[in-house]
Amino acid sequence: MPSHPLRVAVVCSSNQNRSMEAHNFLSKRGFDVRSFGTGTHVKLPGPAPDKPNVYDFRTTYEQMYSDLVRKDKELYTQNGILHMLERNKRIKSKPERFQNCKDRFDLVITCEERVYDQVLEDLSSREQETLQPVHVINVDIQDNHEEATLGAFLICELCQCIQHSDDMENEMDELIQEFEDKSNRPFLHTVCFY
Amino acid sequence: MTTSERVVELLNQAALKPSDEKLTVLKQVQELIINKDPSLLDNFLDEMIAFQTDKSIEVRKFVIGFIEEACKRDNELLLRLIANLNMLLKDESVNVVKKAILTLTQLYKVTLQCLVRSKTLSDMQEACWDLVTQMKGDVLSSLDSENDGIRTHAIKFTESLIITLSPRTSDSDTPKRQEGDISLDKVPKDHSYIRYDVLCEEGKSALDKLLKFMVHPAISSINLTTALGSLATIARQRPMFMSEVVQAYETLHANLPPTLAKSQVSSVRKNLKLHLVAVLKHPCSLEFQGQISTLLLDLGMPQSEITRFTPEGREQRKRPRHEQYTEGKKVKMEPIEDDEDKEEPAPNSAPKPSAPPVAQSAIDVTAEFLHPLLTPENVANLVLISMVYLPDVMPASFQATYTPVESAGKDAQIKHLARLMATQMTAAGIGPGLEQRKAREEDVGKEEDNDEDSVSKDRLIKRKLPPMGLGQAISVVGGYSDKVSSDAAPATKRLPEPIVPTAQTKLSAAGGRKKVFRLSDVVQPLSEAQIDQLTSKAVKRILHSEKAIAQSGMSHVRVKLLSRLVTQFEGMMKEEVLEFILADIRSRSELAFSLLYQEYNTYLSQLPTGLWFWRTM
Repeated sequence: MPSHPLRVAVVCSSNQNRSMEAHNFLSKRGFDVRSFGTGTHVKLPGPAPDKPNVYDFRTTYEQMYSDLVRKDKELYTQNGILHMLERNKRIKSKPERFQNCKDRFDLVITCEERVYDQVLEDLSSREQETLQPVHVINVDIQDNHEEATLGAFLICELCQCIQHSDDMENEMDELIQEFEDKSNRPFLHTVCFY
Repeated sequence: MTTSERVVELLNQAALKPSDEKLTVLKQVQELIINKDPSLLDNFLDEMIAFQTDKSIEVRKFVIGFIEEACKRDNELLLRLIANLNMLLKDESVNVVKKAILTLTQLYKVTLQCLVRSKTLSDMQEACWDLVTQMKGDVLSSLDSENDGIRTHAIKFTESLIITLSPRTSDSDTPKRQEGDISLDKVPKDHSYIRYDVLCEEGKSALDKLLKFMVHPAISSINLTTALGSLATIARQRPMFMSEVVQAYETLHANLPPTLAKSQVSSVRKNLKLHLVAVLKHPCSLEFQGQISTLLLDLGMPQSEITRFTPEGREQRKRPRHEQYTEGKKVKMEPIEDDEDKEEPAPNSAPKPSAPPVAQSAIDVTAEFLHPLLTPENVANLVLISMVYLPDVMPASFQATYTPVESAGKDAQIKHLARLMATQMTAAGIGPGLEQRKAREEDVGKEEDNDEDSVSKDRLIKRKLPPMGLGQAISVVGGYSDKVSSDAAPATKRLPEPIVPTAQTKLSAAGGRKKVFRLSDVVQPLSEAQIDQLTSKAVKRILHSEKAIAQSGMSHVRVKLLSRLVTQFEGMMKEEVLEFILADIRSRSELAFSLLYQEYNTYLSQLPTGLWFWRTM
């Protein structure tokens, strides 16, 4: 068993769908988990693909919920956005931006290559202090409800395997290869230092 | 209650509580005796350090952290605590060792800083420095550790060591947090115990070690990523090493380790891009801009972005180009490449430093040799010849990472190609550059007998690749080496580190240093004599087990078994069994009759089938 519980961060672009689904799963299974977004703004689907609802990261889920109810309750109920916001509200009050968080993690999981790049850029730009390593793993998850659920299962399983390994860093490579083969998705994996 | 009394109470609690709560209590104690009332630190030091033998890994890690904070608060404590840190560096738990390595990374600097303050050292201080130096050596050698995590931490230690043991210059891009850190320029050259030149050499040898480590053919992707980052940090903080760093990046780009899986290759390339940009942004990268830009183009970065990251041209630089790092060994200088894509007319005719002519590296010489030979006709022929070695179908991995060559046919691209080929040729041990270097080394060896400088003027980076066997795919610009075909398997067995052939690439990628077990490798067929010997021994054992088997009531089984064995295999054990029976015929009569019966059966079965009728009658 590892010496201390894994501190996990799950990151997607808007901290609404993929990262929150994984956050939900992981916290139910007892993990020390936080979730973030890396985008400049929070984007939720709007009436058309080119008309998203854009909010600042400081907006709470409650405020977004009220706003969407006011705009078109039926549409946003139908496409599951209101349900998603309700779930998010129960977990935390508002989305968080990874770049603004100075907490340290053992493992950061990103849901898309672009997000992975943004996380790496942010971590590399910070001045190294303690040289404590943090592993960053990318799992490609499409941004819809079904894929987010499947992705959350996968992330949860991965975290459980890592938590149960005797020597996380030594066994990480093998674990990731196994997961790649099992899930038939490519994983990206790197390490940064705090 | 005074702080002292509170500390006593907490320590007593810590001794009795289970690990989690113990940790909380100890953290409180640390807060009190280091931050709130440091005068108590000395009093309670021994009690805190006693926890270094605690069963819990977290508690032992805490003790390491405590040692670090205590030594930073009061440097004199180093003399007392360094031996404890040494013990923890050899702890049985990997996580404790890793924490100890990180602490040593910080405390090495603190120790050096503390000890160079006074010109002469006491005996205890000398002993402390000796121990720290020994610990430094231990961590450097753990670059060869079996454990991936320890190797990663050792790389970070090596990075910090190289920066500490080299002088900070005006071009150094030092992070704010490390402004106060010690570096070689702050070490007095006339110290009684700590030798400046020895430290300088140690710094360079650490860099050599790191570069050699990077070209290990079975390096794991995480170690590689860490090393790439370390090199970028070293280049930015110590621009005198920038040429080695850029060359290491070039070599790596052309020779990715064959053990990496496809996704690991993507991760490493992404990292390489990130760190190349970090190096490019540094003002001293000017002379290497051509090489770095070409690498970035190969990695898929558009020219517009490269230009965006490129710093301003020479008009901003008011001071002359930094002096070569000539202390100790001489360092080769990279010739500035003309890059047609450069937008600003950088005045390349600026006066080069008037240092003595520096030897060009083997790669440069070979590249220059190849450049005029790369005519369209020759290149076309090379492509035609190598197409024979290519697989029938483009592998998915190559397709994913392939970026079409920009400005194909232009002089810059031909130079780059010549350089890539030269890198690979030098790594494989052929080429005019290598021959020249050997000749130079011999000459220099004759001139300077005991001078260490003669060993190697070139920081040549070699990767121990297997020689190109028949049917082996050749690595292509922009991609990584294709899988080694199984024909090359016999060649790989000659290398000290096992490189697993294609069929098991997946497994080898996972383990990095693991070897796949094949029974046929370790097993050899037995000779006739060995078979006979083993058979005879087996039958004898059965014969001699008469009494034991009689007791268990299985004699009839034994009798049947023996008689069948003997009669079936051309009767090879017949004499022995007969001898055995005749030795005590009265009790072994059953065996005798059974043997006769089996023999008769065998005789009958060998008769022509027509006689079967008679048998059944």
